Amino acid sequence: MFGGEIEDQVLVDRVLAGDDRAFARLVDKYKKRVYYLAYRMTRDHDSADELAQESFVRAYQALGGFKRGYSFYTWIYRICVNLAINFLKRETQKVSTENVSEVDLLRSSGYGSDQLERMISSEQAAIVKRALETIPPDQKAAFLLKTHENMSYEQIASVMDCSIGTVMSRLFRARHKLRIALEAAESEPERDNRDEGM
Amino acid sequence: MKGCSYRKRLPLYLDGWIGADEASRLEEHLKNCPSCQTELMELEEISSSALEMIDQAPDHDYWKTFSSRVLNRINSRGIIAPAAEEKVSKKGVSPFRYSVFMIAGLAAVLAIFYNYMPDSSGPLPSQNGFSGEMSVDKVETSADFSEISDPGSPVESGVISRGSKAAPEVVSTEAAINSAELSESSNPLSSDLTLSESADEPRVDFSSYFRDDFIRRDARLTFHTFYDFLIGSSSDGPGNESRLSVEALAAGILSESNRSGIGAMESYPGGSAYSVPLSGGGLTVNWGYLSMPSDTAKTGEFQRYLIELRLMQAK
Repeated sequence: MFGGEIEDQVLVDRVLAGDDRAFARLVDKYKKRVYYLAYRMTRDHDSADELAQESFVRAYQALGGFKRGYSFYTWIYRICVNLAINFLKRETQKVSTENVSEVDLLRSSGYGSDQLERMISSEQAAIVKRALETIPPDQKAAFLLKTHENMSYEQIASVMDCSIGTVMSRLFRARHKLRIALEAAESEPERDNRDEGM
Repeated sequence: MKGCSYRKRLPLYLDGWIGADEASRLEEHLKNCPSCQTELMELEEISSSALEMIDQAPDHDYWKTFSSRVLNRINSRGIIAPAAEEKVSKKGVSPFRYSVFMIAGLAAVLAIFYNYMPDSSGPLPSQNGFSGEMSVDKVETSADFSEISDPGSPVESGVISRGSKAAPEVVSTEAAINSAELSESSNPLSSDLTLSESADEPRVDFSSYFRDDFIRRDARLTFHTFYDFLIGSSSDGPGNESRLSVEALAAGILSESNRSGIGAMESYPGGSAYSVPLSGGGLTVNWGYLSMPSDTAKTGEFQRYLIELRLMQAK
């Protein structure tokens, strides 16, 4: 265990001994990372807030079964990722995207609020952002954990409770779809020009 | 070309998964394979584009109230406090009580951080002396441990509890280390901390993180937490925060430990520290807090430093 994990274990011990303030410290320690993980998954503050808070509540509930030697950081991430994946699956069911191709979805101009769109720093980032909305949540989670958290395959596997092979597969699929999205966006101006010429 | 055998290895190469030998071969291959060069460039482009997505940063108040909102949610649902399934039973264990040490502000790049000091009621949480947020990269000692006499009380039976609180005396770290003024007999806070016994409180053994010579033969060096930390007050992005890494290190080898002064804030590479010397049992232990800015916004990693831990024999 590394230093940070030792600290976490000590805090967990204290929570289990009845010290709720120790849990508040764990929350303080990881709140931003958990929130931003949830935010990147949902791209929505309210949803991210809900998921982040709920992650800690679930962690508190299950803390009695927390395995000594296990990383609290990995554990809270796992909880958050699972909640986010379930959330996104529910959202996907609400807004059916059946029969809508990824490219069509990317072309839909009303995606995301104007406020968020203004915050996008580059055109490609905007494309990737929108494309991320279209890929399955588990692939999205693997991709975000890799790119934003810089996690190793082993860490991602631990967070997502799957094999390393599954991690590789999810990353491969996510990148493949993101690339298709980027290529489609790049070819779109050419097609638009052709359309205008007709 | 599409059928290039290296093509499927490129994502693994990018992710640092493949070994050094294969990486070398792949890099050699890349020099002569435009297709793989393009492929790798596109993969990198996807990752870099994803990183360029700007996250909406909640304001400062959001972070300030976050933990309290989580706890309120826990309380509102009537969730029962967790207890360890095997090792630690909540029953029979008194809740830890510890109190605010002090708030020290760090200017400029360092965010505000909080330190905690014992107040005048209730026992300190520690069982085996002080300990802290552990990030042990280096341990410095100024005493030859072979010369340290046994204070006569096994480490693992001690718990620090508080007596009356006196006004803190500010003493520099160097003074704490180099002078005998910090011995309990000469310090107004000498009765502030005393050891009592408790066998029930959980403990964490950090002995493996220290040099062998730090570990006494007759009692393993153990620590218990007594610390607080703050993730910085800035809210300008994920991981882009100052972080207080509290390094409260003190050896449980003190059978009768006394806080003998409060060190002034000092500058350390990358941050500042607040140190507190303890003395008792023929020793002075210097422990403290260390703060530092986090400059690893992208990786989410935190730099960790160990504040010096120096032991000396008090006169």
